[in-house]
Amino acid sequence: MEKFMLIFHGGQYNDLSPEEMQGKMGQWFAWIEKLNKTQQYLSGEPLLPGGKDVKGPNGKTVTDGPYTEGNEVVGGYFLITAKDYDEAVTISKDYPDYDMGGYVQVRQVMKMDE
Amino acid sequence: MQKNSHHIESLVDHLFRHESGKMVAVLSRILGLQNLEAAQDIVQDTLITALHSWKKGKVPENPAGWLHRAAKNKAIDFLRRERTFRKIAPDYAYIMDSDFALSSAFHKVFLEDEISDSQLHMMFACCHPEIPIESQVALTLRTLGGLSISEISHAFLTSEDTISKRIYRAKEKLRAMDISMDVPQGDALPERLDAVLKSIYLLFREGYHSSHPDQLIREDLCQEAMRLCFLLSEHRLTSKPRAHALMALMCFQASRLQTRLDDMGHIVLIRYQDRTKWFKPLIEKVFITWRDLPNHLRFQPTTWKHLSRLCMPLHPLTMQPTGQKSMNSTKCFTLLTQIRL
Repeated sequence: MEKFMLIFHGGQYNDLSPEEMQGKMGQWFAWIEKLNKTQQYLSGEPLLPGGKDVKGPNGKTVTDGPYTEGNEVVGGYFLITAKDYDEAVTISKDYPDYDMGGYVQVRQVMKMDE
Repeated sequence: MQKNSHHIESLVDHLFRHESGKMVAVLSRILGLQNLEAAQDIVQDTLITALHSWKKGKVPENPAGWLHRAAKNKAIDFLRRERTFRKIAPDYAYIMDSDFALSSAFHKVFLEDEISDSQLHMMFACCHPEIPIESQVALTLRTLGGLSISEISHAFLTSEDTISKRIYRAKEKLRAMDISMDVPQGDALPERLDAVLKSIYLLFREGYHSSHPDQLIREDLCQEAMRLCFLLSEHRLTSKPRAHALMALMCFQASRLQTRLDDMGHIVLIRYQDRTKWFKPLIEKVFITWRDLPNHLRFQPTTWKHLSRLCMPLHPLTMQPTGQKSMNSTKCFTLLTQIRL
């Protein structure tokens, strides 16, 4: 089994009604439950909007950010196990926010030699 | 994982919708009706924050409390930012002077009792006689029911445009007339209460008679009407016989909701309905309420003669009872006696 990180970009909820928002939440719960059942869900966190960009020599330049396009902002991630990229991609098809303009970036976690 | 699923169950049906209605009512109490729009924005923002932070499966122990706290903080931030040029509800104008007063005022209005008070106040504001009746219903659903414009327009089978215009005009009216959020007292109460009850009944009827294929919305309207009427019938200021009467009517009708349609979705007339499937708890609720009501709130004992007179067909020209016993009166009589059993 390999480890994969699913990175969630974008996904705006602004125009949803309260009922639709709760429905959306139910879809996320269901997805996590499904991954839990097959014991493929390792961890995941949502990220608050806003943040700081630290760059430049010695990290001197600190700016508020990220001010990228709304649909580029990382909103959270999952760490999962999967056989290979194919399976990780299949799992990502259950991501609930495609209709909200969001997308998933699938990245394999590098294994370090012992 | 077990903890996870426990938490998921704790998110009751329609939590977001009901809480959004409550929070809009509570915030408007302090912000004033002229800032209804701002109150709705704060609440929407609160729900988005909740969705973002809960969706990975970590729901707080007390989701409603979490939402209230978040909304409170956002509202305080909002007022701090806008303090110099925001006019809020006159009763709360003093809180703009100090941060302490600001947070303690919000703390107070979010107490359980105060929440139902706020909802009540909001009901009277939404059903103000100056607002046309169809707008009253739409505004009530939007502010108290937490339904979106598109959900309301679905329920009423009309365009989103129509509904948003109705709501917009109603809000303008609230603003222009400087309507305050309170429950009318004394002589003004019966008339204003009637207006509220009428609007609630229309809401219920829309749900009950709608032929809309979307069952969910249909029953939701009935439930929302019953929830609001229940608030009225429980509250010390508005627990009047007329509120209980409407509640009873809706309980009886709603108890038959499940038997009113057959598998094909056709209406089943009352005499063909499977009475064993009528929802008994609702029927019982009415009788329990009747029994427990203080004397002065109780209905007059049913006079069957009067009742059957009411059920008689009216002459088309004179609109007087024709004196003939109709199908209806017999049906009504048997129905009422059977329900009692």
